[in-house]
Amino acid sequence: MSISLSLKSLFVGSSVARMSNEALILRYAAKKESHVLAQLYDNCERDLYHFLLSLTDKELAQEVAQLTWLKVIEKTHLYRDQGSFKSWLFIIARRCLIDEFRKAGRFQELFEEQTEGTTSKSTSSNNSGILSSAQEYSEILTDVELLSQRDSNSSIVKQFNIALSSLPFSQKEAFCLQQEGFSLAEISQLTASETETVKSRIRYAKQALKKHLEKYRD
Amino acid sequence: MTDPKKAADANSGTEEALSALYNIEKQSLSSPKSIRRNVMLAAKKEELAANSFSNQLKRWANRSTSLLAATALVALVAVVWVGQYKLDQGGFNQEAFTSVQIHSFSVPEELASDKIRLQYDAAYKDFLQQQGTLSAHHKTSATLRVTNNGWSLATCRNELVQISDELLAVLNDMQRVDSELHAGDSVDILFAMDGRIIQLLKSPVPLRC
Repeated sequence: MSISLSLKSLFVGSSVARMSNEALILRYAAKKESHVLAQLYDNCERDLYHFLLSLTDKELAQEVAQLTWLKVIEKTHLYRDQGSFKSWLFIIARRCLIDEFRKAGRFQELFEEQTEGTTSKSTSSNNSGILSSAQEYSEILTDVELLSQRDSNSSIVKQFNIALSSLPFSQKEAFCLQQEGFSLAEISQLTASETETVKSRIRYAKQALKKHLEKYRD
Repeated sequence: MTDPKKAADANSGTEEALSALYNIEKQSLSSPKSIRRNVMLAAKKEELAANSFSNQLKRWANRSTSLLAATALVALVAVVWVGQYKLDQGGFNQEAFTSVQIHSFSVPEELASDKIRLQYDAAYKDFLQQQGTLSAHHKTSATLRVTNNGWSLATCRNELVQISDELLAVLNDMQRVDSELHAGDSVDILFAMDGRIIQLLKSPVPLRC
């Protein structure tokens, strides 16, 4: 009896592990099986948490991450089989985060930071600057590869994190979403912004990051 | 001026460097176990709630609105059919009979009952005279049915003998109908020489076709 049960759970577990996130959320919506949600959580937890951590402090990131997953449980029926589950998850997370910012009265502050960041960087939007330092970054990449093998908490990674956290909210958000594999159109939908605006934000973010890392390298 | 191709190659290297840095940081991170615990606790609660009997019943009811409608329709048809069956009492389908005999009076309705009685008195006299041969040739067993149209007698040969209310009244008057007769009983029908029913008797042996 117990052998058959364990065999059954093994079979169910492996079949769930092979399913896409979209298939998992649809199955969870239909049957509310907790092991299906566990699989979804394990698939997306790191991406979501890192994204949130890039946008806010550790405490709030943890709070919002938990809140987001609870909303997924609560609002599963609202998921439609259009677009990726990850996109839906990040939309929920972003809304939760903005709500928390509003509660804390930080939303206006972020908005100002965003405007300021965009205008200040727009004056220095010069592609030749990026291209001239490109060779140096190829060298950085080699350094990163070497360092990552030895110690992920290397100083260049720390410098990158400092640079990333110093970016204006909207640029940081657009950059992180791109790194998470979202297309421009998806980022545009996620952040409710024009595609051109998203493109600019990503460009400014990359410029700023490169500049910071350039300084560090010098 | 920078060579565009070279610059593009070098720039893609830069993109890779940023992505690599982003991913190194990401791989070193994991959300606290307490979040997973709390989320799974909520998921378990949801699962239990979803699998509770009342919830399953509710879900079933929600999903099967059309099924319920169909069930209601079937129930309605069944009620109507049972009602019809009760009215028919015998449960026979009249259309299944190969022949139907209608025993009634061909005289106008205003005919005085005395006249009818006289006719049947004469017929009864005939019966009494020929009683010996009647029972041998003109006795049929049947099952009594009571319908809206009066009494009918279904034989094993798929014949249906319908008896009009007037004839029944006359036979009753003449005490030619067994007072113990009920719907579904086996009945012996006694016919006169000319084919007229002159008596209905409850058969002691149940009719088996």
